[in-house]
Amino acid sequence: MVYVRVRPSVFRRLSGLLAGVVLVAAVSGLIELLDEHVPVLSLLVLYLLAVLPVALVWGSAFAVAVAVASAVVFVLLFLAPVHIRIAEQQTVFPLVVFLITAVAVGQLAARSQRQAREAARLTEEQGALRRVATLVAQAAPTTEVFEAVTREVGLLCGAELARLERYEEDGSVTGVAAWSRVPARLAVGTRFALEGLSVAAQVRLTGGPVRVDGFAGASGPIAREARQLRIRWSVGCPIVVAGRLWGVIAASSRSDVPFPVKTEAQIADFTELVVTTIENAQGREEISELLENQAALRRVATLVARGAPAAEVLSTVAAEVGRVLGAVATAIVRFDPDGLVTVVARTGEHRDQVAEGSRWKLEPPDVLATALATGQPATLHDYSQIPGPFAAEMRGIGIQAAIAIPIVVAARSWGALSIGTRDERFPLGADQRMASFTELVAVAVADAESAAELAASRARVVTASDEARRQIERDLHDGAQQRLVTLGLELSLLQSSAHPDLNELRSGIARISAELTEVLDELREMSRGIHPAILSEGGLGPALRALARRAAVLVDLDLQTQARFPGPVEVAAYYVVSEALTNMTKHADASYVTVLMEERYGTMRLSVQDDGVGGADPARGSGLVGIRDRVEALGGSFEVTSPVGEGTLIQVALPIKSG
Amino acid sequence: MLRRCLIVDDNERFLEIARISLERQGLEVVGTATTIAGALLEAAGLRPDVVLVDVALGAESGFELTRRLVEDFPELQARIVLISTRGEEDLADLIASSPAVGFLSKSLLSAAAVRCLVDAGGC
Repeated sequence: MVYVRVRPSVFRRLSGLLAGVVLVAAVSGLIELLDEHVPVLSLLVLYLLAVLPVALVWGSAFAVAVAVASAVVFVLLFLAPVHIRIAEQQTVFPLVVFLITAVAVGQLAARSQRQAREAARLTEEQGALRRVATLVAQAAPTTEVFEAVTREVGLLCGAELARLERYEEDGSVTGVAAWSRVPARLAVGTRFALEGLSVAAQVRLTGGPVRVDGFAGASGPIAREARQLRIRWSVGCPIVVAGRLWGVIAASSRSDVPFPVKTEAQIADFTELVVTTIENAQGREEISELLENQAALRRVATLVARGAPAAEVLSTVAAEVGRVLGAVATAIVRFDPDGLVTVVARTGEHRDQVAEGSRWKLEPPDVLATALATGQPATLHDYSQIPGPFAAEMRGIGIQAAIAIPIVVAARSWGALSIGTRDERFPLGADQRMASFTELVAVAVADAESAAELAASRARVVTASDEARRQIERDLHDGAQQRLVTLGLELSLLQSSAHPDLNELRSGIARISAELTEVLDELREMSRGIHPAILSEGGLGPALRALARRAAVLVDLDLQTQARFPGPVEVAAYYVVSEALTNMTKHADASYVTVLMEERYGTMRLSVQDDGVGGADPARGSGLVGIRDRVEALGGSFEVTSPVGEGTLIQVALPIKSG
Repeated sequence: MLRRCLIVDDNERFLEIARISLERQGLEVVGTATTIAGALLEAAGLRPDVVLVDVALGAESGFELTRRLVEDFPELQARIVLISTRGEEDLADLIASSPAVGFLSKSLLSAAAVRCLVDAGGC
């Protein structure tokens, strides 16, 4: 270890010494060759050829040494043997000039070399920054940018290894990226605790750049690993995102030469790029979350706008909310008049717990009860302290915390949407995002309720009007008709008791009787139109047969059932056939009509088919419109198929619901 | 020869006029009733030769009464005539399926018409 630590410096000195000796020897040889032809003193300048390369490669100190050595060698080899007096002015002056020149040239060469190195280093640094900046600008995946930053920092600092680590809220750090020149175990993607001495711990402690000089004697797993890797120097810079310490970049070296002073500044240039990358990534994540949220909302809104059944909307909302918020479980509950809540939709894990259809008695502090009671969003951070079977099942699912948002329909708490999470760290803006879904749920629920109310009200209107007509028919029958019939009988009595000679009186009474009979017939026709009495008396079979008998066309009745049905269904079926026969007689020029009535799976099916001209349009103010309204008010369907020239087919399905 | 008649109708005024009319025509009206229970009671006590039954007895059904009369008094089989202010064609199915011998529109009620229906040989 000691060997390794000192080797570069010793090697450098030795190689400089060797090069100096070789170069001085070579130049001396050259002077020896030229000595005979030129004055030897003028050749002294040739030693600059030895000084210059040494200055360039080994620096000014070596250059000075070589210059002095050159002067000494020159004196010993070329001046002493020929007894040139060293003290002589002509001899000393060139030697001094040579020494000054050699030192000056050596200094200049060494400085320009340093500047060249510095320029190269700057170029290298700029290049590294540019490469990373390009990645950032291209919105490359964060891991790619982090790896690039780590590699460039490592190379630029001449480090053996470099790491990028992220601080976690629990005090640990996660390895985000790592680079190394030497084989090393580089934990990336895993968390580890910051025990003992480490760059990351020091940076967190100081909040600024740090240097660690050797891990010798330091405790903790990180220091131990650094010793195993023979790390001497480490330097680390903080990464601060949005005012918060996000992570650290650290570079480590085995060299006993400390990192240059400006290393921290160099690394800081890269941390800015890391910050930009993180901010971009967070921005992208936020945008994609937002988009995902919007897409989910749009899907639900489309369902609601399409008038999908409330149950479908509820289960879709539960699924979408659970997905976009990454909840363990999502539930929608309805607040029932008896004070219990019913789970009407449930997604996520363990669906047999807090299952769909289950009913619960909930009280604050349970989050659902709080939301329902206050009409405001509610959060619960710890289910472990909540009593009761509901909380127990929530814990069974693995839920620790929950948010509930009330679903407000017509200014009252209809129910609530709730998500459960494993810990109390809810997704960002979870409550607002859930609230936008509950608004859609409220619309769907309100729609469904008003649709149900509308249907019920239509059915009530139809039933009430049927009842009123039945009553009118009965009143007519029991009142006017009955009295007119009795009057007729009285007239007959009067006639039979009139004297046979009173011809005029008798014929007058006969005329009145005949007139009365006609009035009665008319009245009978009218009251039948108001309500078919036979329907309540004998049911659909006899009523339809009576219709068929009276019809102006030939009617083939195929009644597959003789059962009695709820009043509104019988009345509707009767009017369907009655109106169809009227239309077919009046407009279709039909001569033959078949009527089929059957009951299947709780639905009465009626079809009326004629052999007429077709082309009937149920939308064009015929009696069929009234029939359609009547059928639909009972939740049934009404369909007319009437191709021109091919007759008309009317098909009706009526749900048979008693009461 | 039919002599004794029971009329069942929920309209008192009609019962009164019908009684006078039929009796003048030689058909004795031994009793009247306005309900199923009353009619069954009268039939048991009076043993009429013929019963005229209104199809609509308020909330009760003349068809129902017809069935029960024939059930209780088998001798009344083919001796019950249904009457109504409503038309025969409207009720045809129900009349056909009831044990009544026939139907008479109230405005055409007469002793002769009753005899004609019950006593096939009488007209």
